[in-house]
Amino acid sequence: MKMDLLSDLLEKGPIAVNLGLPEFARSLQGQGRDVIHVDWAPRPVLEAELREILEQLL
Amino acid sequence: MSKSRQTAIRVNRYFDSVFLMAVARRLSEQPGVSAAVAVMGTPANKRTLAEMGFSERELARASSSDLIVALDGDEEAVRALLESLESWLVRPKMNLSGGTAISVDDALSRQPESNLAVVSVPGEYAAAETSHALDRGLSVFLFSDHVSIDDEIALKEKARSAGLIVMGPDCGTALIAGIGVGFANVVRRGPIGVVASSGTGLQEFACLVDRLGSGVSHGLGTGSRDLSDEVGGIATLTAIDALEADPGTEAIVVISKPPGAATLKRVAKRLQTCSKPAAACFLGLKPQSPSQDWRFKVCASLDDLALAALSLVGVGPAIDPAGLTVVDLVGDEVRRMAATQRYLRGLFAGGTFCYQSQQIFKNAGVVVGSNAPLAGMQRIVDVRKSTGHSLIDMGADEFTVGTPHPMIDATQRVRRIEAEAQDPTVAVLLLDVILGYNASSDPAGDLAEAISTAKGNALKSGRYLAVVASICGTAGDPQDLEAQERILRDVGVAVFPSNVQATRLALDLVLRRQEEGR
Repeated sequence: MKMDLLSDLLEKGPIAVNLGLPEFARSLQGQGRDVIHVDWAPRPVLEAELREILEQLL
Repeated sequence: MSKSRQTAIRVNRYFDSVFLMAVARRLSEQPGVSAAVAVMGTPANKRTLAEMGFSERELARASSSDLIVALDGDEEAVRALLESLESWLVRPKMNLSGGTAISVDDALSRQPESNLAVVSVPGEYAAAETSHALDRGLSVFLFSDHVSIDDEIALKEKARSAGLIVMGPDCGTALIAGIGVGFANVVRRGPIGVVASSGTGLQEFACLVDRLGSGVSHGLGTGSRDLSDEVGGIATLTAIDALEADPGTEAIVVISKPPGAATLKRVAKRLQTCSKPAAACFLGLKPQSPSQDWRFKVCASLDDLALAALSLVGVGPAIDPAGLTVVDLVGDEVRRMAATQRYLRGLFAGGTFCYQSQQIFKNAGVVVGSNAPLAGMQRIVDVRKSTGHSLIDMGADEFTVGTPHPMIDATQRVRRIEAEAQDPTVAVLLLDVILGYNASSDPAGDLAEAISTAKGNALKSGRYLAVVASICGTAGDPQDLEAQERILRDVGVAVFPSNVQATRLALDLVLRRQEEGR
């Protein structure tokens, strides 16, 4: 089984991308780690008419 | 003054649950407000609000991506707060050196050396985000729950074939190269590698190893369902492979509730062939029950596992393990109790502690009720009201829908302590206090006033309420372990460094009361 990527995580420690609770990113930074927080939100629910227009455009 | 119960909906406005709980708490503290809820408009949240009496017709307008704020209270207060709602929804700045990104791809373009995605988005979106992170070469710490078992299996298989790992879903804790992810303690680095399907189990084990003078190389969470026969231990096996290959790990321990029978065989077979010494604690599984001739040590408790792990790496405990046994407080405590007092009430923030305490009572032949019963224990009918001996996991779903987990906010546990203490049949309260990153900044202080009041009220009624607590923490934790211990002792709590020891005292107290009642 290839394990290079997981071994890299264990060797270097987490260099993280955080999606969701900002507290998790803050605690990683507080431990001196590099972390980028993704300003995540669910895809907005569009009105049916608008969604149809967008689908046609895309 | 007339009362009002109103909701406000903000379309396509997403906020995370921790922020919304803080908003709700601040709103509920405003004059004239009797209840405040701030949640995303998921079906489960709308059901909860409808049960609270808010208009179903209004709630039906909200979708999962909409914010709902619901207020109950004096008409004028409710109206004024809803009019000023935007001012309550201002999020604190992130102030991260790495900044914020608009997507995973954006984050990776700015931090290409990233190796871990920490995912705590709502469950219905978590699988897609995890899959995308795996596609981009990231292992995933998946805190989110409510991910389907099919998605869990697919994600873990995908990760394993790519040389990655998915820790989760429902993974609360990891320690990677000395760094705590999620709810984790500040634990000394050392030679012991941990694989755990239980977050608080991993925390307790790591804290005990730290207190005993050794340390943890890595602690990899796997998610609570990983050792079920459906999932088959995919993440556990991946983690064992990784720790076996890790040069800093000398011994491997596995922590879980009872695995599925087929998965137990698979994990046992893997540990048998592991080139490093191993030990395991499958809570709820008798150490001597397996018929297999296992060459790795199987321990009955996390305390035993910690001592076994030290032995495997050839480290003697820095403190005398005998010092970890229960001191004889029993006589002093029991002598002061009234004749009516017989029962134990355990109120836990950590699910594993609730489980392990049940195991200890079960081994002693004492049946208790629980909302998360171990085999052979009773399921309690009404989780909001205890009867007889009961051990309650207050972090279970029935307590945490729309409200904070007790590791973050003690409000529900404080109310429950007050309620249990009024019951004249209650002799002992058993509690856990969990320190570490992302837990409450003062978990002992959160409970202290309620404990003090409960004990004081019992005395006024001619009773004596024994309160026993364990603290899961280390000297390095941000909450200050010694200060937390002192806070509890100052209000008369018998404080122990492990759940096993606290439970043994609670058990001794209960058994002594039984003897005296005969």
